[in-house]
Amino acid sequence: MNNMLSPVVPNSTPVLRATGLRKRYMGKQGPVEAVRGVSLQLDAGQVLAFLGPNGAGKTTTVKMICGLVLPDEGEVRILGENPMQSSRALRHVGAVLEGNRNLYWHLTPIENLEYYGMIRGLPRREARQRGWELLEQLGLGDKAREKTHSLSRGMQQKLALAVALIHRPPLMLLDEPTLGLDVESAIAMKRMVRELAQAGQAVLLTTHQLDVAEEVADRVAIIRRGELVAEGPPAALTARFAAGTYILELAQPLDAVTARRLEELGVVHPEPRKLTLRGDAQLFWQVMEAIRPAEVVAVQRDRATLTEAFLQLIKEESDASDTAAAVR
Amino acid sequence: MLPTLRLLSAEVWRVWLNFRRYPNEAFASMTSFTILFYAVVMGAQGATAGPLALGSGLEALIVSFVLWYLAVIGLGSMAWGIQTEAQVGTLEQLWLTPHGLWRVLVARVAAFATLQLVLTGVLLVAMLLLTGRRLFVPPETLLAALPFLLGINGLGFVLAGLAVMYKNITGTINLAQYLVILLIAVPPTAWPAVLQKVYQLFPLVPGAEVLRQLMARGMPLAETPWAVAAANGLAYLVLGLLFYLWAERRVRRSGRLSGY
Repeated sequence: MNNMLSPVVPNSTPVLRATGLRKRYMGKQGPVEAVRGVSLQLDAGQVLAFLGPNGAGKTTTVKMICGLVLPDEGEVRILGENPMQSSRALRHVGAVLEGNRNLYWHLTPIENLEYYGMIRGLPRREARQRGWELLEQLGLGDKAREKTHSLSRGMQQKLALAVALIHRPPLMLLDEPTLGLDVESAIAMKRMVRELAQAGQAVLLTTHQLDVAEEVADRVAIIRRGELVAEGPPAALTARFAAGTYILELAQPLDAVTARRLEELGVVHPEPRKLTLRGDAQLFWQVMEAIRPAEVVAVQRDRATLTEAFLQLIKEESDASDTAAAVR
Repeated sequence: MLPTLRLLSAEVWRVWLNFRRYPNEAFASMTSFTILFYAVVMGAQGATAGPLALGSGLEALIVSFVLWYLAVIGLGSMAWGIQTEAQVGTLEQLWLTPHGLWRVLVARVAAFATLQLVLTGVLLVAMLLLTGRRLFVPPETLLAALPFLLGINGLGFVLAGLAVMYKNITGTINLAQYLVILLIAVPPTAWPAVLQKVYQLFPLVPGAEVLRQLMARGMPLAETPWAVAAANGLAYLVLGLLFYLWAERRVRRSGRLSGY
């Protein structure tokens, strides 16, 4: 995508800095801590995927960042400005919340863009010109004068993204941007998110679709029961859960004596010519010694997917909570 | 252009777009106005003045009608707007503008009222030309109407605050219209003696009384009653806005801005 999407980023201040956000709601069975001490930072050109199961606190956090929900504790700075105190800080923000429900359905796409452009401070001529450019870039040029309600869901989602981009905000907040889209539209949406980052936009997206996070994010933050349980580049997270997992492929099946020796070392031996071992380098060389002189065809270090990392993290946290509850 | 003017022009453009988009609605609205003004200009006075009833002359009837029309817009438009935007799902997007939600709502009311006044004015002038009647509204009428208009918009903010909290307040808006009619249709001289002493504290009443003195009783615009009425109108406007801002903060604290 060309520089028409480029935001105006005034300086090297982080685009987003959220510190210690907490939110508690009154539920039917007493207070519920929806968000517990979440801190995030996002720089220009970065995509941060906010991952978590349903009800983990993702949307509440995003809404606190843009001031739609007031936190009980913590603070937010968008390019150094506080959106809780000054709505002017919101000129830096574009948000797509709840998919296509950000649009006026009786207006056409170009009218939606003109209107939102003007109320966000663009002169009408510029809003119209930029609206047309965005529609062309998103492949909606031929739909510009149709009623929004007649567009497909994928097109409406693209239009919602265009509306959020109309004033070139440095920070984009996308709440479940691919939810409910067909495969083709979801692929297009992921490509657009990457292009936004390449154009210098900081993008915070929430999703519970792990493939989305893995494909588009520079960093992933995993939230569970309102608390951040992990944050980092997807590769680092997956490496954390894949560390020390080796798969050895052998030319011949092992004899019974060697197989027994490997069992003593705790090595899994699911197939006659395949060994899976979890452990450090010392174990690796112990195994190599044990199987000598067997011919090794291939050694592969296993790479976990983000899905496996996510599931393990969620499980670890769940086990930790259960243990803590039992101790209490 | 200043951001506020740009916001206002955006809202005028949107209102005009809606007006053109639904021509049957526009036609029905224009036709009803035409019939109404024709009736006023031809002398069917009693049925058209509205609850302000500022006299039986053509000028008084027109002023009564226009003021009542503006009162209805000022009272309920912001609340209706919030209800509709919450149903459509665009309320949060309006909040996310650099203006804040209440300024967008005020711009909408102003845009809608402006369009309606322009159309009304055009129709009225056409009627006067057709019938050969003349109309002279003294300039001080605008000054006299100001306290009333300030007060009604203050009550509009209160309804907007209730709408932002509860999302559907159709019944409350209707009830508020009846309460306003009750306040402005009966002059304080007809009130119980105890209430007569404090009528300046009631919303809209001093403003309506100033208008009544000027238009119905033909008295000049007196400074003190006008100042009292203006203070009353301003106070209710400020209180209404404060109530609205409190309500908005409350729903943001409870996370219920987009829905109830």
